[in-house]
Amino acid sequence: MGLGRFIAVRALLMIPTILILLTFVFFVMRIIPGDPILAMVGMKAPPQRIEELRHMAGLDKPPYIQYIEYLWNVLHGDLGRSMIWGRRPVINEIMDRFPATLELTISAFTVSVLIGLLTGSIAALRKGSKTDTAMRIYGLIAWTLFIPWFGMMLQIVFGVWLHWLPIAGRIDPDLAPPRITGLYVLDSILTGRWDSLVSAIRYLILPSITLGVVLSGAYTRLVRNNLVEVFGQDYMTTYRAIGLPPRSLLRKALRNAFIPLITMMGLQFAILLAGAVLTETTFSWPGMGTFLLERIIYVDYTTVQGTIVFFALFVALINFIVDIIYAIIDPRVRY
Amino acid sequence: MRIIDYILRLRTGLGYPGKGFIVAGLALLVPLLLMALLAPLISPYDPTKGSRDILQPPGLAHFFGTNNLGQDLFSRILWGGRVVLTVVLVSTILSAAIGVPLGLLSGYLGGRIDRALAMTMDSIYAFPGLILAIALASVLGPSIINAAAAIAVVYIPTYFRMTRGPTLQLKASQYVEAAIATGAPTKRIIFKHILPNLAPTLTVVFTLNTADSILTEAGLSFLGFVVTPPTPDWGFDLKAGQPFLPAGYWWLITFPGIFIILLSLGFGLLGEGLNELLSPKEKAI
Repeated sequence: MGLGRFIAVRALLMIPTILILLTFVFFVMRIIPGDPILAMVGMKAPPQRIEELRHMAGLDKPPYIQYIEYLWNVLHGDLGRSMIWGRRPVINEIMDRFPATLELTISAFTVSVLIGLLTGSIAALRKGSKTDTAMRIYGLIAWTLFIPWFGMMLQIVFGVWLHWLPIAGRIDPDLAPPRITGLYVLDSILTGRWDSLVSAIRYLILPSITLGVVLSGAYTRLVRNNLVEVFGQDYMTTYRAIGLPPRSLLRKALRNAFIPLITMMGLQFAILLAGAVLTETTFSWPGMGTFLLERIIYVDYTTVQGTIVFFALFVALINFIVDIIYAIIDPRVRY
Repeated sequence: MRIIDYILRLRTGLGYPGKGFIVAGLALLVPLLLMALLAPLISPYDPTKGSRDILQPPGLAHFFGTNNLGQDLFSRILWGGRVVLTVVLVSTILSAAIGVPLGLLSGYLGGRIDRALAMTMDSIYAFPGLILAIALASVLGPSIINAAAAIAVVYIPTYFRMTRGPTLQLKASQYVEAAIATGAPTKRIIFKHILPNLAPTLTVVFTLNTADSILTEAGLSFLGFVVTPPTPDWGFDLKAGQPFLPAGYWWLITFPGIFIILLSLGFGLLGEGLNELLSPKEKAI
């Protein structure tokens, strides 16, 4: 199968996945017992207000019409309108907040892969030793580190006691660079605002380390196991026999050990997004996570549903991209 | 063989692999479970009752200090453990009770329904668990039972996948084929020949999944979807302590978080050890 055909088949396979996810979100937000609006407002709200909210959310129509309208709109990129403050389209509101989450996740992802490569390589090189066990335990502990707790510990040490780094927000309020991509680090570089760049990076450090360390545990184990497997291959024995120095041995092994890692990244990405919600809340990071929680409090039902749909589509897209990268790197996948 | 058998066999000291992990896991879990169980007996104060001793640092009168309402944090942690364990236990039982039978039937019967079900479960599985739980909890409203239901939905696909995969393999194995050939009824094949062989895998899945759902519960609680004040819960107490962090009141956040981690780590270590004990293949790597 050629690459083009592989991409086409994989794209077709996305259709049922997306339909399932959309239907699932619809059910989650509506058909479950109880009234979602009532649960969100609480029992004390006047009946009139509840009726009004139900009408705004389109919940007073028959379920099957709601479902068809919802599918139709989502497939046209329309996530509805927010129920508060000037009723902006939900997709615009999401796009205001999405770059912050993207910046955080990219940065945290980089941290987690780097730590994972380092700890995993150390463990594989000293296979069966105490260091190996120590790295294994590190992987477990990193995975159980509760994100808000770990974040707050970093805040109290590096923010409150040492005064090295800020503990909340995304950038100094007067230093925000002009918006091009919405990623502050990138925008500062593009516009040559070096003071903004320094500020953006300072704010990015603690949240990225928090999320990155917690996610690194999975990579530690994966890198280690892959490397150990690669080291046992015949071609590695050959390399060793012709007298390659350990450093270039590791480099060659890492290249092959990295391929199976890519398939993990898709699944790991979902965990990254979930972790981002907690990280954002801990660091008052103005991204999708804080946005979602804010709107749950304001009973902005359409926006809450739209945000969940957006997360679902985003995860499906990432999995699609990961599969294609994998197919490009490892041609065997295509058959 | 049941889980208790594996643990008991360790006592003969034959140096089973993973022994260290199981012992370490139990060393964490047993005291934590006892603390939650005995909370009414050993808790020095009423966890919900405030006092005038506000924001006291840890000391002899209050082991973990007091919060801004003068509540004793040690007592709150003891009682909070009961909430965490209740939510996790209820949700795990719920998701296993739905996911395992579905996975068994789907994998054994096969066909179109199996494929549709597998695809549905895979799609949900790929969705970020905590965000799904938040969506469910937000429309259900905050309560212990609702949180347990929300977390249960998140983990049904895990049990489904972990049951369906091995079921497919077992169904193709010779002894199951032989059983089918002798005309054994489907019910008998599932209960006598397949389910017992899934027990080791499911034990590990159950343990590791509990470790995971503890973190999800703590996350939901931290975001305010599990309990309402003054009920103690570790994740919620962590959130309640956050506003006092810039002023340096470290004990308000340190202790609830440590207990979340210890409980999750205990199940993680136990699952890790059990996994090594039950699947010799892992050891070769």
